[in-house]
Amino acid sequence: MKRKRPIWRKFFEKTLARVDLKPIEPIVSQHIHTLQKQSVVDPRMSLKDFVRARR
Amino acid sequence: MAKLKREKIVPHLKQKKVLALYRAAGKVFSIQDFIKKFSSTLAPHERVTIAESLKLFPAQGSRLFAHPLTSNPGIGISRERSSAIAIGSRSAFITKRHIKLKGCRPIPDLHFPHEQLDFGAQEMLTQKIQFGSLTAENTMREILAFCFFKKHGIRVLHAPVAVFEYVFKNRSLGFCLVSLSPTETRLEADEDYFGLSIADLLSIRLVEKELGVKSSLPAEVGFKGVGQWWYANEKGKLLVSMNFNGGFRGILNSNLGNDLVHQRKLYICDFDTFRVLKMPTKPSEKFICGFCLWSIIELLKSSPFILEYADTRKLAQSRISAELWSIYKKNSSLWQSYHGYFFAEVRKRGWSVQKFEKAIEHVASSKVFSEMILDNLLNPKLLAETYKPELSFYVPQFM
Repeated sequence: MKRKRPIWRKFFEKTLARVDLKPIEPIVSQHIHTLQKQSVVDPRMSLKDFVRARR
Repeated sequence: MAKLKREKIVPHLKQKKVLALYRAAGKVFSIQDFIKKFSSTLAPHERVTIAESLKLFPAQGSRLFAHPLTSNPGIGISRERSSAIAIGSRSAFITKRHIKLKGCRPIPDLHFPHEQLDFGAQEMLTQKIQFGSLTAENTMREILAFCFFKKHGIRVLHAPVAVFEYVFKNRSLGFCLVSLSPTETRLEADEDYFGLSIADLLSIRLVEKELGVKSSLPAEVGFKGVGQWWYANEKGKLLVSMNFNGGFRGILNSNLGNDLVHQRKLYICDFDTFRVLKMPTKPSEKFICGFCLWSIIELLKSSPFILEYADTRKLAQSRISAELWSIYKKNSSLWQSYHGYFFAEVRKRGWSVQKFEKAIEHVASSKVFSEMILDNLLNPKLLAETYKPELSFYVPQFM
């Protein structure tokens, strides 16, 4: 299933309409990739489900 | 204690939404009779609070039930006409009668971990308890909390009316507290995470940092239809009032899932690990340290999640909790409200503000604090050290 447009992009489009996110995307991707290797949690997991699973 | 395996417990946690109820073998106690038999499970000063409040419970007891009810067909004798809605993994709510059965699902030979932080201790103790029901002490602590809240004029939603004791194959399987409750709809049901994934939050905060800008994403999780400052103010006031009269819920009960809003008023519930401290007129430094540790730990456990990401990868172990603590204090409206009411109470009592401030900072260096603060905001240590989400004990408390 095709994933919907990430919600954080919507936030940025509201507040930072003219910002070019492309140069930053590799930094973000690399960071997520590093964490993915170290954790049993999939970063695509809903934040709500993750926080609740820790309660 | 031998470590309880999550894999063995987790399959038993989920219940159907609508539960059939069964008649079980055992006994129905009136609250007064239960107190007479089990008040020795409490400390002497806690027993005084109960003794002063006996008139809150009818001497003849409740005539609501002639025999215990359970939601576990495995220990049931016969099916009852009534059914109930599941609450968490071990409780049920009979909606039509506004009756909550807390701990009505004992499962023989299945145990659950019970975490406890003794007053003055720096580390948590883990014990094992019977799964699905309450111990006599747990039940007495629920009754104690009700008496304590009434005594100090603090709002309380659940009124205990009876206790079931389950007996199966000639052995007690623990107790179930029967309470009257106008609602069981928890505020947690309206928690708003804006549809974010872990990666979304991480990305937003990293991009903000790289560009030196702020997005419109709020600092913490809120509740749909509930004002953030109203919530923080009401809860901060309520917790400070409870704590400064000596009441503490314990780590297990200090859970965001135990907040309710009923008729535009905020309530907290779940008190089976509730304790009352004897409050001194002139507190010693040792008391202040223990008091601040309990207060802060319970507040952290009960705080809405902070929508921040702290990149702690390059920080020394000793600096990680200080960094998380600093971000938490800056962003948590509950902390800001609690802190204000907390120091207003300290000043009102003529206690030393400086000693309490010092004790709060000292708390941040304790082992238990460094474990608890990890869960208040996203950070690499939390992600690296967590268990698999499917092994979580979390079960929604709301309907």
